[in-house]
Amino acid sequence: MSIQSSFAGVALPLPVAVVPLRRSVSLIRAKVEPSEKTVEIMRKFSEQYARRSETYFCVDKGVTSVVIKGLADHKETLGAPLCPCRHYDDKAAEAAQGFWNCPCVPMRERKECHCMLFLTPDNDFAGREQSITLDEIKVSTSNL
Amino acid sequence: MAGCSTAAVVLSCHARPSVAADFSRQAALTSIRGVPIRRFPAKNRRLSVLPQRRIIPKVEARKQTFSSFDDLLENSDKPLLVDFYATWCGPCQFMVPILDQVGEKLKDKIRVVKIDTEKYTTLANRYQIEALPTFIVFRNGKPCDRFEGALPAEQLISRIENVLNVRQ
Repeated sequence: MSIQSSFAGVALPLPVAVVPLRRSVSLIRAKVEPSEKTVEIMRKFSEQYARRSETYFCVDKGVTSVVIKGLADHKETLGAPLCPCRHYDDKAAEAAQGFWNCPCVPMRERKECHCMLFLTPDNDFAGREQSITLDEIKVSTSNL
Repeated sequence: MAGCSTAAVVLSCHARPSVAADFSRQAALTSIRGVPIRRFPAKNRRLSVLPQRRIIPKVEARKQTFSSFDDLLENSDKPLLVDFYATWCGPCQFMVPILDQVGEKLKDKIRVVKIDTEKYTTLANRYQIEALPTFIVFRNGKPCDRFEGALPAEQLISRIENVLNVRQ
């Protein structure tokens, strides 16, 4: 007795997946993350540069973490750590030009870092640390 | 605007992974902060239920269909605070809970909209966005105030209130 004869007339040779008409939640994660290796490079750079420039990381290390990852992301995609807190018409051109490559000219000349990565001691948001671990970075950015 | 159907454009996305739009039509995502998440969406509105992977302040993102940012500007009943941000911009992420707070406190006066400048580069170029975050207050479809950088909730609230109290 074939399967077909047991049904009224419709043969279903393949299993049919029943998709509910309304799915309540569907997660699409499209963000690409920089590799750990590059994050580590930028982390070391940030620590060294903070010491050298006598600046401090933000009280909220989450901010520091996000910026470090942003620098790593640009370093990977553009070849240079372009400032992640700016909007650019042409990122590649800017990376080649260099004004906004970290440490950017405003930082080098006037210790102005609007990313809140390197903060002078008088800044309201400045903490007292000049170091950050890879773990701290991972934890702070795990939700992004 | 990238990836749009003829009907609508996904306007703004949270920095956190966002819930997929419903597949029959694209919907713009505007973030309305502070209103509790409802389980049963109203007939003409889909509310996104955000996955709770950690303790986060209550957020409701209300999806509405707009054909473009201009449409959003034109049809908004309230002034808009538009936050131009990028995912890997530290101060922009710093502002996320502050915008929640401000959106809740001023919910009758203003509506908070977030625009990912990496997804909507044309829009960012149109308003000549440079530093991030940049906040622009729109009233009657026109920008009436603009400022850059992170700032604490009280300052943001008083700045918005000052701008809105100025007679046109």
